[in-house]
Amino acid sequence: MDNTQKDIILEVRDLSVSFDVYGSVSHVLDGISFKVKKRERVGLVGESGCGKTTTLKAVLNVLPKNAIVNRGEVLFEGLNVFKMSNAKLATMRRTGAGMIFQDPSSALNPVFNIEKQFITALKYAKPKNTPAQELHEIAIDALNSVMLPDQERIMKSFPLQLSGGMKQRACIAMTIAAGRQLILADEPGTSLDVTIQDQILRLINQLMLDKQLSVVMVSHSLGVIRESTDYVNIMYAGTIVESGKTDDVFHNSKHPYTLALMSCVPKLTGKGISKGIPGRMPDYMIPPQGCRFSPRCPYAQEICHTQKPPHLEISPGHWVSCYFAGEVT
Amino acid sequence: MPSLLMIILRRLGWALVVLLGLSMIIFSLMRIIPGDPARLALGPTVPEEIVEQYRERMHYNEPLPIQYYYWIAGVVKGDFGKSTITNRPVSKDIKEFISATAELVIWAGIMPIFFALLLGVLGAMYKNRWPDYLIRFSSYVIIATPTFVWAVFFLLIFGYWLPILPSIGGRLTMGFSVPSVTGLMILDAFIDGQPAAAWDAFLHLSLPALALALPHTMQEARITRSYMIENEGKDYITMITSQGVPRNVINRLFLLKPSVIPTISIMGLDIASIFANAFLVETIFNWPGISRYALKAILGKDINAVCGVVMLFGVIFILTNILVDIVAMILDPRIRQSRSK
Amino acid sequence: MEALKRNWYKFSESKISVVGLVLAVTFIFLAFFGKYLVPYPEHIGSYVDFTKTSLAPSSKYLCGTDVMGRDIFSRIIGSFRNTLMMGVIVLLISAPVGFIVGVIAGYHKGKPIDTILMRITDIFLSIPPLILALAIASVLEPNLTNSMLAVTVMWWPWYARLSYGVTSSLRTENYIIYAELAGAKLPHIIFKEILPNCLSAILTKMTLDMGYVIIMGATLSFAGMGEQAPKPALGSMISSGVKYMPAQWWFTIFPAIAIMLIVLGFNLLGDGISNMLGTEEI
Repeated sequence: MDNTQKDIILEVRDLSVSFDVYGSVSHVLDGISFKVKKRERVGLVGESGCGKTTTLKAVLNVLPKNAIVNRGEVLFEGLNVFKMSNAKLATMRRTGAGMIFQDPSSALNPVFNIEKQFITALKYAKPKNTPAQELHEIAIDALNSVMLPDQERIMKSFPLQLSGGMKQRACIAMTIAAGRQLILADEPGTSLDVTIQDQILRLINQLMLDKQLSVVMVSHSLGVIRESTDYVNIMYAGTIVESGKTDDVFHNSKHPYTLALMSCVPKLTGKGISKGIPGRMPDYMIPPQGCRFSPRCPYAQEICHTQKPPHLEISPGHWVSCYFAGEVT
Repeated sequence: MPSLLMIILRRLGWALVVLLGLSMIIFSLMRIIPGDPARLALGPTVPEEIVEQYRERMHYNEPLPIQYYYWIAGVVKGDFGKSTITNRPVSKDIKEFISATAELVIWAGIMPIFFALLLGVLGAMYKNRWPDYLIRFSSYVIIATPTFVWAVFFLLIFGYWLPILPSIGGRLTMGFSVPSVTGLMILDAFIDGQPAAAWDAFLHLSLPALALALPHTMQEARITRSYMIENEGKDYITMITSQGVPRNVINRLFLLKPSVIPTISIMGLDIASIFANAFLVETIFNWPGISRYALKAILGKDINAVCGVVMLFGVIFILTNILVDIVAMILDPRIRQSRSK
Repeated sequence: MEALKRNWYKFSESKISVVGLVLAVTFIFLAFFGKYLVPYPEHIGSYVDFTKTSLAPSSKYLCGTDVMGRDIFSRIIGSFRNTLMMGVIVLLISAPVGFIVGVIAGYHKGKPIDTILMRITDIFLSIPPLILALAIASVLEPNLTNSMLAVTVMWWPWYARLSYGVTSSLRTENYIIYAELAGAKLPHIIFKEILPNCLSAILTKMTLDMGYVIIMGATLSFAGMGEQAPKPALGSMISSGVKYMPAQWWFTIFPAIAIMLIVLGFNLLGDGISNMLGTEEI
């Protein structure tokens, strides 16, 4: 492996995932590819329902039972998570990569207190026979680092006794306490109050920088992505339509969908509010044959509807999945 | 959240209200039956003056609310009046017969709990594979069959075709004698140092207990299984799986506990039901229990006995409900919170 | 059309639900038309022929004959009508009554009427169901109507509790509040807003309950409270047959199997409906 390879902690290659829904098949992910380097913060942007959470779940191999991985690989530190041995998979989950879920209320087991859930997870992440006292201290430290006061009380609390923000902080603490290198954050602030959301996102940002972690930050909010990522992938209906450095993609958008997204964001110096993007997401049971955005794309041509567009690198590090990238403004 | 104690006290308070209401209903019901209760009690040959004296003494001539008052006053002291069938104080009858049913309840209601949980968990773990199908199929059939039918089946099979288990003749074979300490014969036999008698009592107990146990155990298993399956898809299981906690730890602890809590509430109801629904089984197997006594009282229009027994069952039901609720509250903080509202 | 197809798929996902449907439909069909199809229709009811008494099952008498010489098979099928009627009537009365009580209590949650109604419900629930039914049935004349009455009295609280639960959680939903603000009267709210939400839970419960009501009816008639002789009833056929065991085992076994199949059918059907409607297990 050359140096650039060693640098890559996560690589998703041509991932295609479908779901078996009451006998019919829903083809959600169609050829997702992206990379995450060490200490890099990568964003995954897209509307609700575009498959972002599915992608994250695939990384840790915790897809629901009715999920079918049609093709593709997810390589964590070079190894394919779908083909790993159980032992390697366990190690990856315990100390390699972790996920922060969207809704902390449903991510925590309601009948166990924080301590039980935290210590149990830590027990397997740390070397065997680590004394309970030490595990406890690690947990308290972690809770401290996510700015939770009164840590002992929180440990003894049940999820329903904590506010949304506290629960999310606790979840974050659990994920980083084990020393994982890759954090998958699934819209970590979305289910919270806007002000709390802001706090949580700043917290995550700070932690990632402090501990030099790699992050995949999923969000449907462009503002969040702009502030907290170095690199971004724009996702639409299970496909990545544009990817590149965050600045590049935001200021030099090339894909029609990205352009439309950017224009939807109201600007202070704006020309008013945009009209939005007409149409809706495709039905995953009968997805478009060609480019999945083509039904809604104002620039779509015949070829867009029938054949999947290629991945073109229009400038170094800036990739677009469109036949007419570069010709569109 | 208010303390557990406060919640319990409040529940007990309500329970008292409910019991009071129950007593009024059952009392009115019994006094409505046509016929002269005094005549019924004393028989047709007794001269009218004596019957009239009896009526006076029993307050049958007074208005209903007054009669109720006298009755309740007695009940509080533990006096339910005399049974017209056994001619003994009802409270004495109850004391005598309740232990037999209690033993049945323990073996038919409480012991099978573990079995129900086990079957439920197995069914969920092997979902849609052969063990699951087997368990589900048998549970459907078992649940669809009323308890008394099982009792009759067992009587036929084990009583006559393969007589390996005693089916009639009560709790003990003739020739064994066990002094009553707790009233639970198997326990008493051990206390008295008669293991052979204990075994015999157990054999006698097994058929009626099995007939009673089957339907509700399988129902509990089904419910456990369905909650296990439903909870499997929940986010908190995905999260803990994603943290690398081993599958068996998840199953045995983090998946089991939330799935089992609703089942426990049902189990409580089932246990209380057995007390009352045991009457057919007790009749068929000639088991000297309180339910059979209740049946005879109802059919024989033995007013005092019926009132006494219904109140007893009411108390058992309510207390069991409270107990089960307490257990649920200990296990599940969400229930604790909703109860305190 | 698509919705129908999807519903059918969900329903038949479990093959045994279809079996349940078949069993239940067969039962209902036989309840209506049984007496025109059985080999010995006159045996349903009073009929005596001591020359044919207590015959073992044969091709002539599928389930054998009873002490009076009557064909048991015909009598079993003949009892279906009353069995079905009990189930239907009990449910058709207790479900709406329970629903109304539960909805009113849940709608006025926190007010005195809520407490009163639900305490009354609790009282009925605190009596072991069978004992209550027996007590009522024994106070009254033993016949079919009274046993139906007894079971109904005992059954409605469950629907009250169910409706109460749904209503109190819906109470705070916005669309109920909007309806009130718009001036909708209570009956409108109950039937247009609340009922549709309860409906799937109630329907599922009704199908599952059918089996249990039938068992309850059989238990009552076993104890001597239901339909009286010479009309056939599954429970009483079993109880009168017990003393002839094991020699004349067919007296009890066939009615028992019949009960089992009927209840099984409704249970499976109820499961399938619950799958289809996506309701939680109660």
